[in-house]
Amino acid sequence: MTRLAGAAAALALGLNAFALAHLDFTRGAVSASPRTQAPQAVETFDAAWTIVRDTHFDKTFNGVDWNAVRAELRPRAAAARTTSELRAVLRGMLALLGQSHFTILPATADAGQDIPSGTGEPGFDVRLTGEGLLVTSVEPGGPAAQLGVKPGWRVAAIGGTATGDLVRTLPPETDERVRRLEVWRAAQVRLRGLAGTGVMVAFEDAADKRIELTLVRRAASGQPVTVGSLPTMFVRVDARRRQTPSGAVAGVIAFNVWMAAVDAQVQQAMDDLRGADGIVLDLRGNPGGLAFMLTGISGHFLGERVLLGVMKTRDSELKFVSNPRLVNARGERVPHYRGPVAILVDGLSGSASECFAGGMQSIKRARLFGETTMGQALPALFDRLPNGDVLIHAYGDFVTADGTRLEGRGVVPDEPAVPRRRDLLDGRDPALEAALAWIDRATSGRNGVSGWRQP
Amino acid sequence: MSRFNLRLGRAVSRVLSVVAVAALAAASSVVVPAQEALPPARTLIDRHVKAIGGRDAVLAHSSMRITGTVSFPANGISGSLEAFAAKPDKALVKLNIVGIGEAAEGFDGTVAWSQSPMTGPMLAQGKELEQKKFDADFYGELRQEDRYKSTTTVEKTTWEGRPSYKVKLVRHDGSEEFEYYDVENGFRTGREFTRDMVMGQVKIQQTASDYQKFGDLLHPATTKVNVMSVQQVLTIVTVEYDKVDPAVFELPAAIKALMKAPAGK
Repeated sequence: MTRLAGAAAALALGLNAFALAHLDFTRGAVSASPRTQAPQAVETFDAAWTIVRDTHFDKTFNGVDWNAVRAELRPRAAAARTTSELRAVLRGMLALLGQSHFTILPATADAGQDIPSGTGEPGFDVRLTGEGLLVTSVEPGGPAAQLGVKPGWRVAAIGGTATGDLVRTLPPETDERVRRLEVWRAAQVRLRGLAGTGVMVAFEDAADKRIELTLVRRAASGQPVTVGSLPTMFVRVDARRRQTPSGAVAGVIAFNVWMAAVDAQVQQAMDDLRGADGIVLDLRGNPGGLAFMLTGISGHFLGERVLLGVMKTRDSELKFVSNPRLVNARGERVPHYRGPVAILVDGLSGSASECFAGGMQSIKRARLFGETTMGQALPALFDRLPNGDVLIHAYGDFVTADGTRLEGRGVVPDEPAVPRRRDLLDGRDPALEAALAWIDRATSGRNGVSGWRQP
Repeated sequence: MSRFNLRLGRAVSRVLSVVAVAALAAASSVVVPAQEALPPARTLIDRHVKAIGGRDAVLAHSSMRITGTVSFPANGISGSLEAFAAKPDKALVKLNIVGIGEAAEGFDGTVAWSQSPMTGPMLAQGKELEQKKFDADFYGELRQEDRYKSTTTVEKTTWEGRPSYKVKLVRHDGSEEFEYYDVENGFRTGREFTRDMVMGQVKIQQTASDYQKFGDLLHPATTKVNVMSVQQVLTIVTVEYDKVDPAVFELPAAIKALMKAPAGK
C-alpha cells in the first residue's frame, strides 16, 4: 500500500489547493447529499467551529478569540429554530474572521428565499462601474443577443428589483471592490434560474432609452463538472486569434474556471497558437478553482520548473512550481511558448486566477492588464457538515514568488484598463487593446516570436 | 456515506478485525517479558509478514493488480483506483476521480513519472526519483534488512486506539519513517513518513485496517491517508496475482516525448 499511499498523496496535494471564490456558489444549493438531515444545530455548529479551529492557517485566527466566539455563539446555534437561523449564526461566526473563503453552502434553500435555483442563464454578463451596472458582454446567439441587447447598455432593474436597490443594500462603508463583487453576485442570483423560464430585465440603451425585455434563460453553456460536494460548474474555454495594431498575430485564450477539464482544451489552444507573436490569457470573471492547476497552465510559458508562489498552512508549505509543458496533445515533444504573455484580470478574477496572475507577474513572465483582482486568494477546503450543508474554509495563505500576499490586496495590473460605457457601446475592450498594443511593443512590431526577449 | 452506513462500516470492520485476530492468534505471538521490554523491530516486522501470509507466500508472487476505490469523505470526492506492481520494482497507480479525471504515476524500473489533468506529464527527479524507486520494490512489504541502515522499536504506544509498537526505520540515505505494529495481532497498522515532491517535502500519515484475505495473502482493505489536513480513504476490492502484462509498465507516449532532447539539440 506504500505505492498507493504515495500516489494518492500526490493527488491529494492537488485537491488540497482548492481556491475558488464563492462567485459560482450563487447558483444555488450544493449537490444533494444523503447526509442531509434535520437541523442538528449544535452538532453542526460544533463541527464547523472545530474544523476552523483545527485547520485555520493562522493560529491567532486573524486576531479573533476563537474560544470566546464559541462561548458566545453556541447558545445561539442551539436556540436556532430553523436551518436558516442556524446558517445565519454560522455565517456570522465565519464573518468574524474577516477573511475570504469562509462560507456556508446551503444544502437546501434558505427559508423565505424567493430566488429561483437553477443554472439557466440569459446570455449576458454585467459589471458594476461608476456609470452603473453595465452589460459588458453578450453571448453571440444567446437569449440576450436575440433580443438585441448590446454591450454598454445599462441594467436598470432585474426581475422587478431596481439596480439601485441592489447597491443600497450594502453598508455605505463597503469597500468599492467588495461593493462591485456583491452587486454582481446579487445580479447573477436574479438573472439565473431554471432553463426555459423568463426573467424581466429593464435596460437603458445607448440613447438612455428604457427597454424592458423578458429573456428566456437557456441552459448553461459549457461542460458540466461536479467535484465532490460543490455545485456543478460549467467549464468554458475560448481560443481565438486577434491581430495586434501592427498586424501581428496574438492568441487570446479565455477560460471561466480552474477545473481539470480546462487543461486539455488549453493544451489544444496552445498547440494551435504556438506560432503566435503573443498570447493573451483572459481571466476576467474567472473565480478560481483547483489552484494546483496553475502549475500546469504556467508550464506552457516556462521551460523550467519555476516557483510561482507558496501556500502556507499552519504547519507546512506547499510550493506551486511550474511544470514545463513540453509535449503537445499528440504526444510530441515541443518547445514551451517563449513569446510575450499578457493576462487580463478584473475585479471578478479571484482565488486561483489571482494566484496564477500574481505568480506570473512576480516572476516577470507576464504583464497584467485590466483592474485589480478580487483579493480573495486563500486556498480552501470544503467539508460536509452534519446537517448536510458544506463549510468552505481557508486553511492556507498564498504568497507569490516575490513574497507578495494577495489576500485582501489582490493583484494589481501593470497597466490599468477600466471599461467605460462609451468603450463598450463602441464595441471596444480597453484591457485587450492595451494587451495587444503591448505585444506589438514587446516584439518591436515584428511578426515572429524571435523579436521577443523574455525578461 | 450516511452516518448509519458509517457506523455499519465500523461495525463490519470491527467484526473483520476480530475474525482476523482469531485466525491469527494461534499462528502469531510475541513474547513480551514482564518488564515490558520492547521486542526487536525485526521481530515485529517478521510477525507482521507471518500474519499476512508468510514470507514464502509473499515471495511466491511476481506481480499484482489491485482494484478499489478512493474517496475524500469530508468533501464528497470519490473515484476508482487501479494499481499494478511487478518484481523487481515496477509500479503503476491510476486514480480516476469524478470531476477531475485520471491521474496516474508509475515507475518502470528506471523512470518515475506522473500525469494528471491538473499538471500535465511530469518526470520525477532527484530525491523524489530515488524515493519512487525505493517505494516500487515489489517485496517492500518484507522490509528487507539490507534496505535499511537500522530498524528500532522505540516505544509501546497507542495507534488508532489500540496498543501498538512504534518502529523507527532509517534508510541508507538517512531519511526516517515510523511504523506502528498492533500489539495484539501483529499487523502493521500505521506509518508516518515524508516524501519529496515538486511541491516540497510532504508529511504523510497512513492508517491500515480491515486486513482481509485476498488470495493467499492478507491486505488492509482500508487505508486512510492524511496529507495536509485532507484525509483520503483507499479501499481494496480485488487483488489478482501473477497475471500482470508487463506492457502496462511501458511509459506513456507523453512521458517518452518528455525524455527526448528538445528539437535542435
